[in-house]
Amino acid sequence: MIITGPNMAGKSIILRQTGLIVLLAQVGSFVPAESASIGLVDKIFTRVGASDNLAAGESTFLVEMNEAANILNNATPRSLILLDEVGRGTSTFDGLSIAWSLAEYLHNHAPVAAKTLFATHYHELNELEQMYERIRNFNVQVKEHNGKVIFLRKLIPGGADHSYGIQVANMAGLPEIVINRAKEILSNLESHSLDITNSNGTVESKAIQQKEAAKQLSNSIEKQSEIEQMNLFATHVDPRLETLINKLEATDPNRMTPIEALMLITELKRVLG
Amino acid sequence: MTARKQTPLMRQYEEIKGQYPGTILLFRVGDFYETFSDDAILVSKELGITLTKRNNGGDQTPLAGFPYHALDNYLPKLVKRGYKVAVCDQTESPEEAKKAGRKIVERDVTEITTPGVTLSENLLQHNRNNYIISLFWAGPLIGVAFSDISTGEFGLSEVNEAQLDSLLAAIQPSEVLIQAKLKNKLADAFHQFNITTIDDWVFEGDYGYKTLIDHFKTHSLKGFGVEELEVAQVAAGALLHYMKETQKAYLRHLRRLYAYESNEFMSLDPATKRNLELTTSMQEGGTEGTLISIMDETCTAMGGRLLRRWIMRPLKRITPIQHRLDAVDELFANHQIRATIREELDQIGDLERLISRICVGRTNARDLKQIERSLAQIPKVKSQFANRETELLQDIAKRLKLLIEVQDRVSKTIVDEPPISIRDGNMIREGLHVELDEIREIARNGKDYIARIKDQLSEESGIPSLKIGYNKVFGYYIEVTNVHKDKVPEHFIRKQTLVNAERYITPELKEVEEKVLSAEDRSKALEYKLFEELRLFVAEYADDIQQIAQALAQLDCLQSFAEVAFKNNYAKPEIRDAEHIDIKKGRHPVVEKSLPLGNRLYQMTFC
Repeated sequence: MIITGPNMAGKSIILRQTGLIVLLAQVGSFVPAESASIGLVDKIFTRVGASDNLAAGESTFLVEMNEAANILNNATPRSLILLDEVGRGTSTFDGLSIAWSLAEYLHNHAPVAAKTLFATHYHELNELEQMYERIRNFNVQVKEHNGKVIFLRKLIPGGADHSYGIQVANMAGLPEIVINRAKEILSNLESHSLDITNSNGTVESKAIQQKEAAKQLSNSIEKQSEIEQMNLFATHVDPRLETLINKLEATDPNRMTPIEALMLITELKRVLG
Repeated sequence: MTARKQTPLMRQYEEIKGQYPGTILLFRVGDFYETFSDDAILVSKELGITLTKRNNGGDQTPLAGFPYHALDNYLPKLVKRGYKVAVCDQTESPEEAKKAGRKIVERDVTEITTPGVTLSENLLQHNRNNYIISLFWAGPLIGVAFSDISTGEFGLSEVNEAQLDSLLAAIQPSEVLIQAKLKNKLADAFHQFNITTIDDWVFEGDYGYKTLIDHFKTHSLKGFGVEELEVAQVAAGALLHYMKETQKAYLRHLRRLYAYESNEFMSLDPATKRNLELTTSMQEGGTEGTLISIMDETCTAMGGRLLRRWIMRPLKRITPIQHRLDAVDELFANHQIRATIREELDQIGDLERLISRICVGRTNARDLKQIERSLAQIPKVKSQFANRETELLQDIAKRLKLLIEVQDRVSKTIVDEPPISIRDGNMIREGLHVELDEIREIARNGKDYIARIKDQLSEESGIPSLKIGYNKVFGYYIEVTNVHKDKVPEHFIRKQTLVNAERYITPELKEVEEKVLSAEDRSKALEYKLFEELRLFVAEYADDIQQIAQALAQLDCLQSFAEVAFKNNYAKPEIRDAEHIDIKKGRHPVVEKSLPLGNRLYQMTFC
């Protein structure tokens, strides 16, 4: 189950509450829900957020990968896995690739084919639903109103088309000049749509076809102008812009102090020259 | 040792200090606890007390100390910072030392407090277990033993390297014991723990096994179901060895070992426990915003501790989960019963820790009184649910034994409001013990008693002016004026001649004098003796009381679940042996408390 939705919409909360409800049920307590039917779970794994363990001096990304490795090595089909924003600790493309292959592995590998909630803002992952039978997309519903985002806090089937990151940055109070510039960059990037299938040799050709079809579909839904296809690792985007996006994407305004936000703005401006 | 001439006191200090490496030694000198040398420098820094110097045979030794009555204040501070602290007391009075021809009084360590081994209320949190864990590596297998000396729990397990993390996360030990030779070989992850090293020989041969069967007075460990866990036994032996060394007492409340089975429970890795914020929050490490902060509606300390253990270790098999859910359901549906049970539980003390202190002897009459009052609650609690249908509630009711004999004997022996001290009397009821009543009578009414003797003597001898006086040289005496000299009975012994009177004593008067003068001391001593008898009597019931405490703790957790479910509008989940998880309108238990109502519903179904 892949959950997409913008930052701040509550993906992490959905993940945690699912874990907590299952846990409470198996402790023997009633649960905060209208009703719940729980198939017994033998283990719960979580990979949530990217901010813990920084004090221990390990890099965020390394911690993340350590935990992911632990999950893949110890999960069983009876386990519940909650993954939140896996891959956010590295560059966008690396992160997306890792998240993608992780999802595939958890689906395809019988010994670890566990129940998994995979929250991500890489809405590219929604395409997995078309390729794999047991992958479902859900998204946290939001409404866009006059350029601002309203969080409805409802989970509905289907993928999110948009990460609303810039709107959230706006709500967090980033200066307008940064927001406007980010919008420009985003529309630039969106016109260079990403292609993941070509980079993944292991996927069967049928799946590739399926995915191509899915991609067409999703592209038409998104009313994106089909411009030239871009290979995943051969980017001809301005490197400064990529740095900027990476930095913005790796940022969670929820977890930032005002000082950190100021520092980020300074850094963003420096990147832009 | 250097050639410099030490004072006898410092020689004694060094000798005792040498026996407790890695431990801060608080050395009683008169009304102070003193520390010397490196200890003094450390203690003065940690406690913010003045560092001075002491002349030691020409040398200047650093010294820092505090008045003895500040011990309860300072000792916990040191232990909370992870230090081990030995308290060294004077074991004889200066008079006794003089009599025995010693220049300084004898001293010995009476108790060692460590982060993982303590009974001190100043160090323990009432709703949290304080575990110490002992680890023994035998190839790929790790023997694990852990105990909470304040509750008498003692568990064994054998795990592999991967399971160890999860076990440590579940137990959250305050102190970890390892073999001395492994000290520098530990993985980095261990440095978050308070490590104590134990001499290697303690982990060798069958020392551990022998220590265990010796303590439990059994021929084997079969009765505990841990006979096969040979690697864990080594760890358990070392743990028991260490706890005995530090407590300096027979730990009679450690009554049983049990095998801690990881297979029965859902496995939660440390990251998951942290991420889900079960008992500590990711922000400050406090309990704000944690699952436990929402779920804890327990009324007793035992219940609070058990709830934490339950939440850290969810079950994996349907039957026991279903049993708990059914019991919760019954308590959920019957508000009146739940309310009454909560009221009665509220008045029950921390039976586990009370009985531990009573067994080890660090206790007082108030503790015994608390046991009595708590036991008196049991029939009231039991009557609330004894007729309930649920299997688990019936089982709990069965285990809530009535200990009328303990209750009665404490009630008959100890006064209603006993003092904290056990050495100063006023604990034992009047009318319990003939000799005690007599002594008390004498102590209280010493003068009246002497006056009665005077009247009696005066009547017998026919001397109306007969007086009884007192002086320091020969205590109580009888004074007869020269006018009545000829009426003095033969058994009077003359002691002194004055100008117009004679002073006498009699064996009877000396006996009375002895009684009056020492009555107070003797009544205190006798009260202490009677208290000790009662303490040992109650300690014999340690096993029963621990079982009752466990049953109460379970009941408390179940009613807590029911109470939370009622307050927060939770639903009974259906547990199935199936793949699907289907949650309708689930809410986040913690977040729903801080967000407005309409803002918190998520509907989800998935497989």
